[in-house]
Amino acid sequence: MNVVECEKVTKKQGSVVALNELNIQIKKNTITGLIGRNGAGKTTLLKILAGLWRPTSGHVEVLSVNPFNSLTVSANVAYIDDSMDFPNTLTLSEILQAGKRFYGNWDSQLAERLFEYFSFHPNQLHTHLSKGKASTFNMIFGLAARCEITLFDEPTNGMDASVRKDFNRALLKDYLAYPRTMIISSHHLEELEELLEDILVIKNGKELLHEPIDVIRNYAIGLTGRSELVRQWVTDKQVLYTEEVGANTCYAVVKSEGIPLEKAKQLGMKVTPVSASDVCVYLTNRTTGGIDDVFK
Amino acid sequence: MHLLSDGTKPIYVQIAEWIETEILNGNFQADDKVYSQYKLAEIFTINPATAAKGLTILSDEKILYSKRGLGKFVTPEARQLILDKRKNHTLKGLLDEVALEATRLSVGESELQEMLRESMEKIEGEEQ
Amino acid sequence: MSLNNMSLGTLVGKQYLFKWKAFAGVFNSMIALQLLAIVFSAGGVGQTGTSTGSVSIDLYYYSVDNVVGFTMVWAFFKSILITTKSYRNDDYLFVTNRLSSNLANILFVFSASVVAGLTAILSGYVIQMIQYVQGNTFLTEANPLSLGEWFTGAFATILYILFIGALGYLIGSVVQLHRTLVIIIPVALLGFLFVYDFNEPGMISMFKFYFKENIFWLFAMKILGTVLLLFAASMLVSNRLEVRK
Repeated sequence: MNVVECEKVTKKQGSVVALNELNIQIKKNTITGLIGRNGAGKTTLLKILAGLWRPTSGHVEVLSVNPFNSLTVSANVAYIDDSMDFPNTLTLSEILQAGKRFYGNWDSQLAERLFEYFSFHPNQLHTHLSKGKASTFNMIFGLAARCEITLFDEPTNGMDASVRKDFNRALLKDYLAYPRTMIISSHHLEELEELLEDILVIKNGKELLHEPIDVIRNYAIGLTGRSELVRQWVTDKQVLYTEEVGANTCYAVVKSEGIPLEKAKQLGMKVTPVSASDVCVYLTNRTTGGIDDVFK
Repeated sequence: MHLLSDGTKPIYVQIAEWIETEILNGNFQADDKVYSQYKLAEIFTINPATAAKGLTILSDEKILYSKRGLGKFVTPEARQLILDKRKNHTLKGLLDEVALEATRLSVGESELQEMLRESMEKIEGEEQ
Repeated sequence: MSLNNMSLGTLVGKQYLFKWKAFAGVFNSMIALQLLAIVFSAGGVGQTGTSTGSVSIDLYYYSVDNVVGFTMVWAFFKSILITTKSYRNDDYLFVTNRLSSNLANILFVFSASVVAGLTAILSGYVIQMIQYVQGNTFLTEANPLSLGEWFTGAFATILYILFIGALGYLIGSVVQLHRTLVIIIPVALLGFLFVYDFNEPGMISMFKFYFKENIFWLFAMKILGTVLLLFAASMLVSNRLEVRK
C-alpha cells in the first residue's frame, strides 16, 4: 500500500522550477532516503507532502488525501527541519507538553527519556540552543510525535558524529517498535544508508532513481587500469564518472549491469565496488550522458 | 561485529556471513532458532528489510529453514553447507585472485606453493 | 498504527489555549503601553481654573481616554503581529490547517480585546488612586456611574478595540500574500489619509453609521457584524497561503 503518491508534480517558485513533473510512490512503513544536491527539490517535495506548500500543477496524495490544508495530513504527518522556530514564550518542556496535547500518538516516555539522555534542561528556550542541540531536540519532537508519516529534512545538520550515531539508533529502535513511514532527506547518504530500505534520488526536480538500497549498492563498479585500455573498453558502456589517477592510469565508474567482470580482470583492470553514496554523487553530478562530453 | 558500508560487500551479505560464522563457531546448533530480522536490525542498526534479505539468502541456500510464525531455524546440514560453500566459493575465489596476482608478478607455481606452505606453518605455529 | 483523528472544534480549542502561552508576549507590550498612557494622563487631560478673591479653584479633568486610545493602537499592531510569519508558523509546528489556525487566532483577538478593554477601563481607578495619593479631592463621587452605565461603557470600549483589532488582522493577512505588500499597504493607507477629504459625504455617513448610533444594541450589532466580515475576509485571503517558508 502506498501512503504517498505524486503524479507529474511541478512546483515553480518565480522562474525557478523546483519540481519538474515528479512521479513517486512511497510504500507504507518503509524508511526512504531522499538524496539530492542542494537545490534538487528535496525540501520543496517534503513541504508539499506535509501540506505546507501547494504544487503548481500535478496530483499529490498523502494518506489518500490532498495534503494541502488537510487536517488529517497535519495530524498524521510530522515535518521536521532545522528552521523550526518554537515560540520563545515556551520552555523546552512546555514545547513537549504542547506536542502531547496536539499529537494523538505522542510518546511522552520516549520524549522524556531522550530529553534526559541528551541532557537538555527543561527550562531552556529553543532559541538558545546551539544548532546541533536544536536539531537533536527537533529529532526528539519528531520521534515522540509518532506520526504515521515522519518527514525529516536534513535532520542531522549540526549534530556531532556521536549524536548522529545515537540519532540513527534511536530512530531505528523506535521504528522497529512502532513501524511507520519515514522519509529522511540528506546530501550525505553514507551517514544514514544503513537505516534505509529504499532510496530516492532526485535531480533538478525530477526523480532519477527510486530503488531498494541494495540495488544502489550494486549499481556501479569502478575500473582502474591503463588509460587507453579503460577508455576504449568503456566506450559502449554507461559511464558515470572518470578520473585520471597518476600517469597513464584511469579510474572509471560504470553501471555494473552487463559488465563481464572476469574479462575486465583478465585484461588487467582492477575492479572495485562503488559505495551507494558515491553512486549518488556520480549520478547527481552527471550533467550529460555521453562519454565524449566527459572526456572533452 | 562491525559492518562495512564502503560498498565492498552489501550489508545483507555481511549479515548472512555473520550468521554463517556464528553457526561455524557453534553458537547456533542444528534446529536452533536464529535471530529474527528485527533482532538483527537492532543489533546492527540496519533496516529490517536489509536484515531479512540476509536471512533469505541463507534460506535459499538451505542453511536455514522457516517454521511458519515461529521464525527461522538452522538446518541439520547447515554446517556442512557453509563449509562447502566457503571452500568452493570463497577460498576458490581468493585463490583465483592469488593466481592472477602471481601471474602479474611472474611468480611461478612452485614459488607460490612455497609461499603458501610458509603462511600455513605460520598460522599453525600461532595456534599451538 | 491508528490514524490520529481530531475534530476541527477540539483542535481549535487546543490551539486557542496554546496561543495564550505562545502569544503571551503581546500582553507585556499592552501593559507597558497602558502604563505609559496612565503616566501621560496623570497631569490631567484638561484644566480650568477660577479664582475669586483669596479663593482659587483649579479644576483638572482626568479620563481614561488616553489609555483607551493607546490600547486601540496596541490592538491594531498586535493583530498585525500575530499574522506575521513567525507567529503564524507557531501553529504549523503542531497540528493545524489554515481554517483552524485562523479560528483560534480570531478567538484570541476576541479574548485579548476583552482583556485590553477591561484593563483600560480599570486603569481609571489607577489614575484616581494616583490623585488620592497626591492628596487631591475627587469630584467623581458627585456623579457616580450606575452599574449598567459602567458595563455599557466597558462593552463599548471592548467593541472599539475589537473593531480595530479585526481591521489589523485583515491588513496583516493581506500583507502576508506578497512581500511587496509590506510597503504598498502602509504607503497606500498614508497616501489615503493625505489625499482623502474626510468631509466627503460618504465618510460622514459612514462615521454616523458606526459612531453616532444612539441605540446601544444597534451599535453593538453594527460593530460585531463588521468585525465578522473583516475576519471572514482575512480567512479567505489566507486560506491558500504557503507556510513555513
